[in-house]
Amino acid sequence: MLKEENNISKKNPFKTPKSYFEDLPDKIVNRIKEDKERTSYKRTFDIFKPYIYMAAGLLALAFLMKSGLSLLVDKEDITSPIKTQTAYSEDDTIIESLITDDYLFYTYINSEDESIESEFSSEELEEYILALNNIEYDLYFELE
Amino acid sequence: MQFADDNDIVSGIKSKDKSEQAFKILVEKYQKRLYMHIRKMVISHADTDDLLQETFIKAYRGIEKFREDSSLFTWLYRIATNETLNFIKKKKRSYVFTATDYEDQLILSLKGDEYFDGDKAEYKLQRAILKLPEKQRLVFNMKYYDDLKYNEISEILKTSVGALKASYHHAVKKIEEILKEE
Repeated sequence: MLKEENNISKKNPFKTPKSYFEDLPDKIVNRIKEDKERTSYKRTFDIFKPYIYMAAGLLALAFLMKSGLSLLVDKEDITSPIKTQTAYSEDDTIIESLITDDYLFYTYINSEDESIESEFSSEELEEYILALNNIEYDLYFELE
Repeated sequence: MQFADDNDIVSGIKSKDKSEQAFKILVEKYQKRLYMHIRKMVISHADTDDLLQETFIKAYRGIEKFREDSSLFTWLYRIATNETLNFIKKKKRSYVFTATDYEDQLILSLKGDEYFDGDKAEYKLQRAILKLPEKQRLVFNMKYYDDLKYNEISEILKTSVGALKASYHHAVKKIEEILKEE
């Protein structure tokens, strides 16, 4: 019907490039081999994937812990030891200035007295003491 | 030949030592028929080449699923048809926002195709076939060019013989009308 009426042959009108069908079987086999290699590599990776992820996770955790710890340690380093040291150095001067043994204190006082004594004559000192007594007396009488 | 029939080829592919050799025989045996089946649907040689390779690769991977009570050729034809229809569906989607249809593009590419060897009448017929809905186009090509029986087409397309007969009848009528109009 269609063929007779329109004078159309049933011949296939499509061509292929030269030696296309000769090369195709090898081409497909090579593609399958490549796919297999890729799949086996992927499969190997898939087997180790959970372990790789776990190791990566642990490494990340270790890194985070280390960073956290170092931050804490650094904080302590910044505050405590320096503070202690500062406190120590400040306290040290205070303590050193305050905590002196009795002997040293005594000699210090004496040495001052000596210097005072050396600066004033015995008469002047006597007058000074008398003046002090008078002040005390005056104060006493004033209070009474 | 080492592989006398399709069952031998399938057993060979399933075996470990002869798998590659048997598979090559299978490709050599069916490549031309499957190529022409796909080519008539997508026109371009490059697209046909891709789809044909995919068809054989899928067949190789799925050979364990092949049931030997059905024909190897029918099974291969079904894989090729599914691959082709999926490809056309994707192509059509990519043409949704363009001024031309995928079918128009096919007609244009047919005109400039260096691997189209038909005369004027054959070109006219191919152009008329490309204007059919793809299911009708498939049925027409399988019946008219590949000389497949309705029950074979039915097995490949999973459609009843009655529906196929109606489809082919409509296709022929439409082609005749298109050819008369020109």
